[in-house]
Amino acid sequence: MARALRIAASIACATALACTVHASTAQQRGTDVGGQPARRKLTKLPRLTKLVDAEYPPEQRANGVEATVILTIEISATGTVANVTVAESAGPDFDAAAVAAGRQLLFEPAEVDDKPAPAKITYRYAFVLKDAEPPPAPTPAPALAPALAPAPAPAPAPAPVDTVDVRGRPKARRETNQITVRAEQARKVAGTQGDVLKVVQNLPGVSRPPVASGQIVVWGSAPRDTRVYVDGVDIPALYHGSGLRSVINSDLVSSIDLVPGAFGAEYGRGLGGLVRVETRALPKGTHGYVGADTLDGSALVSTELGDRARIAIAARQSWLDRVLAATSARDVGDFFPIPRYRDGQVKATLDLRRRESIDAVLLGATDDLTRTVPSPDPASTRSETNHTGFWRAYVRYTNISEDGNDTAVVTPFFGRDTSGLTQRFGANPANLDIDTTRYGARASSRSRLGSVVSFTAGLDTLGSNSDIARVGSLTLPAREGDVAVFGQPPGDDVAADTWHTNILDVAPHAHADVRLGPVTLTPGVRFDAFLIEGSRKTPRIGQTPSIGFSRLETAIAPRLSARWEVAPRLALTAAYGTYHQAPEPEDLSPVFGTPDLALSRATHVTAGESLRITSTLSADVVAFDKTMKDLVVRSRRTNPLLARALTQNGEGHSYGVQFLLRQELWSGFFGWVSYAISRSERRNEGDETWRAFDFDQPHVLSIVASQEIGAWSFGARFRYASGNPRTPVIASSYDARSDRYDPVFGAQSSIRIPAFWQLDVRIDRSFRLGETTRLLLFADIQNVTNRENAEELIYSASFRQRGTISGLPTIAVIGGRLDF
Amino acid sequence: MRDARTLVIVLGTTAGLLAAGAPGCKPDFGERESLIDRTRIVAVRIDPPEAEPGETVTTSLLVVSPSGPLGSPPTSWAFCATPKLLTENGAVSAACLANGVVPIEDARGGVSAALPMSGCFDFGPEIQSAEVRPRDADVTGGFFLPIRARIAGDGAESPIAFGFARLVCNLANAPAGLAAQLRAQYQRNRNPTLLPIELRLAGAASPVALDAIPRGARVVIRASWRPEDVEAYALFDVQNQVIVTRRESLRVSWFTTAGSYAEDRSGRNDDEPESFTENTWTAPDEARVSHLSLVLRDARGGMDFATLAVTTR
Repeated sequence: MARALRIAASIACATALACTVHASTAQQRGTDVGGQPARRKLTKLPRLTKLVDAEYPPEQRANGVEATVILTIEISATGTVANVTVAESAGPDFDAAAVAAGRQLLFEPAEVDDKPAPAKITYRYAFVLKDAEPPPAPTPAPALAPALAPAPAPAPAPAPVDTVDVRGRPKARRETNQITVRAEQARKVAGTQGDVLKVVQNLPGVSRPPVASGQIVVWGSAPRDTRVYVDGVDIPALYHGSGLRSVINSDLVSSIDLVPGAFGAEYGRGLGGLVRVETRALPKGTHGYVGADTLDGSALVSTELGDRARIAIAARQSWLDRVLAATSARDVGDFFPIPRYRDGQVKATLDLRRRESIDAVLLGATDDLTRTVPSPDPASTRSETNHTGFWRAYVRYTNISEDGNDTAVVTPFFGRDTSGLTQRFGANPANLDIDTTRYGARASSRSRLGSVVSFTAGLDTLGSNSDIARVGSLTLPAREGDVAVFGQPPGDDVAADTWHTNILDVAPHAHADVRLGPVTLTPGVRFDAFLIEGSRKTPRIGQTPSIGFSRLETAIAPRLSARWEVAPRLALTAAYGTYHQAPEPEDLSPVFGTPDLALSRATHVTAGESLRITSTLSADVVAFDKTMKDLVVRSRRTNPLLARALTQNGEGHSYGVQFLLRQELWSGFFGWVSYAISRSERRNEGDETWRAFDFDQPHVLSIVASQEIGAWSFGARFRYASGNPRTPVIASSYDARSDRYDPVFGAQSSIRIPAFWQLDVRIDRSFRLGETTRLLLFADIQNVTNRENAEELIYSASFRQRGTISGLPTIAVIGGRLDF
Repeated sequence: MRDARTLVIVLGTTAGLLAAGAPGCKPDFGERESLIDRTRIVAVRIDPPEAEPGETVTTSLLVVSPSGPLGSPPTSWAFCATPKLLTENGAVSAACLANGVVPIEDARGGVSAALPMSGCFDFGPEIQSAEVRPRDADVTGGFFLPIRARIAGDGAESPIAFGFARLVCNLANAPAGLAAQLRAQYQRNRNPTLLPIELRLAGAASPVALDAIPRGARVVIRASWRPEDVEAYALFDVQNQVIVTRRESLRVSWFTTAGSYAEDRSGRNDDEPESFTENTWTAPDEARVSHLSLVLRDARGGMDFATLAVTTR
């Protein structure tokens, strides 16, 4: 049978109408870095004047392989192609062919305010085989959605990427203080071992987490106050328990958004920030990889199921715990517990019609840790078994109108979170088991009302049914504000409780994007109605039937953001919002907590400026202020009231300024320098003085750089962070019953762990093993200076000496992956 | 027509770890808890170890300096009067290190005193209002009243130690029937008794003379107690809301003024039938007298101690 080749190329933005809409959308969405300069009116689209066929890779053609490569093409003000990058890969040979052809394209330049201006477009090369058909010239692919973002004139190069997904799936609304990193860049950041989601730890406003911890602390908010969403569906954590890996395969990630605060009305339930992960549109053809490194092994395969459906399956299994056990000192596991983790994902996409699709996704991850510190002394034996896991199943329906003005997204989801912690300190037990079923839906509809206003309304619902069992001391798990030293056994008091909670939040929300000349205003409001129910209002006594509780807590949360395009390269931004958070189910115990806990509240205010120095280099400054009220803290009474072990007397305040100098991809280089100076404090109502928040880091500096040279890629990351506050031990007393010393503490949070700095480097090299196969080898070397960073303060048994636990030495995570 | 394809996945990757020396994360303070390098209180014994408020208990303590046990040093005794906060991991409130105490008396060695009548309210589960949360018991079901002992130490340092009198209180957060059942079944704790300590050279079967231990010799020391010291006791299981019976574990803390022990502490868990524990002491490499101290503790706060002097030649 004769084979024919058709190479289809399209400028995604095919109509002036669509492009005008898109330009306006870009203005409203803010920027990657907290606000870019305003864009003036797009008066002319770039027009393709020279179309160049891409050469079909011979082997792929011989094998009958089809593929689509999405390119991002930067067009200069003269119409020549300034830069071409692969936005969605179809494999090294297809990519190379598409890039080679893309570099030769010529355009009539775009115009802004009737003057030639650089622009950036999304461009597709579709490698399609057709039987008995001669090779035609490239033709537009009408099935593709518009995708163009003109640059701010008269900058010599394009604006940040702002595309409409080729599958007709809208991007999430861009927040004023949002920082976005595309997966292609995040993968190359040193110290992340190729895990794109770990780049979050290097973004401005994010404190350095403790080693072997996956906590995310943004702008001085508690880790549990920041919400993580995948395609709009909340998940309990971004990382596995060790913080070494994210819970989602990097090859399924399209981009990562960090919003440290002052986000819009579509999101709530958290006093901190947002991390949004967008999964990637599945490519045509069959692709995948198999990879392994020091930490774990993983694989992904995606393929087509007919013309309109695609599916991808990914899985990962860790083995670092076994590697460390074989290669390092025995006590490493005592101080840096490395759980055994695994995760898996399945994503299927069905294109219903043009611009209408359904994604079905299943996510799951587990962490398991078991360790025992034996001792001939029964009171000194310690053991721990920890299991955490979650899964989510969701369906995402997307419908975009033909003119692109109206968008509807509905995402119902269902899932389960489980965690089980069993510890034993000598004879003292500590168990905490939580089993939560989560369900809900996120729906939104966006409509454009004329040229000035677009309006979005939606409903965000989340229900959680939790069964909780806890045994042990009230002091374990520790809470923010607890005064303790590392390794100190919990109190020897033992309590027990089992309880059930049901928390349902129904939150309609709405916001408008209003453009008034150079000013874009985004007023919004969110109404949260929390139904909070529990099985027990007072502690259990024998078989006495328990009395439950049910109440409704409501909150109205106004949000407002504004952006003023002061000059073509300079924009000022501001944002305000109030936020509410329901109590954690584990805090609603009548024994360990307080069933009557209400909502915690916060107010965020930000102001910033964004300066675009060149087309790819920008500088951003954002000042922020967060005030938090009604935070849940421990009762300070020596004899708390019944079912009042926790109170809502906590107050918080965090404020600071963050700076970001960011170079987007340019001649194979990208990187950024971010620095935040901030202060986060806590106190109880009525206290005269504030104390430092347990995770307060006044200075955090990150420098990230990556350079691609041919098949080689080099990256480096430098981090500096203040140490977290600690409470000093000033004396000790001897507990003759337990035969141990108890510390006597000085002023709370009055000292700090020594500051941290570390340099990491990354080198990778790709090899073409065939037309469809590529091997990538990498070495991600952490702490190349072998600096002994202090990770924690530790005391001798009598508390007469103080030292530090040092972090990991130079470690090279070496691995590779085979792409096909 | 698209050809069917078979994917052959080959794991063409390498994995490895290069570590610049095995990480030693924890600092070595060079401090052995079993080595007496300063004057320390290593035991505070309450007799009887368990009593009701108002009943009289007698305290005694073991103080050891690098030159040996101090006998009956001048000691300031006080009842702790301030319960600890829920947020405190330690056994006592920091206030009890300062003025949050009720002085008993200054004496050489131990004292006798009646436990404060408010003990079960301040440190136990009893409450004066139903609005108040009763305190939680320890894992043995006990509540303890701290008794502070302060002695003059080396230089300006004044070692402070807390002994703990186990309180007999009314059970809280339990049905009346179970509370009555517990009171009927419960046997108050008694202090265990250390039997004569046995020493033998490692690998030898017969005892070694205390005044003729070779320098640097490895000496196996056996601490034994009476089988009846492993007491069974009734306990209100708060998790299952039933009365259960448990068995005490016993442990020995080992101290020496010279040489070194293999372990600082050893003992028997509640499921082990043996009534002894052994430790290996390595004698100093010089001719001298070493003072060994052993403190036996049971799970409910009972205690006994003994000292002996050994001479290396």
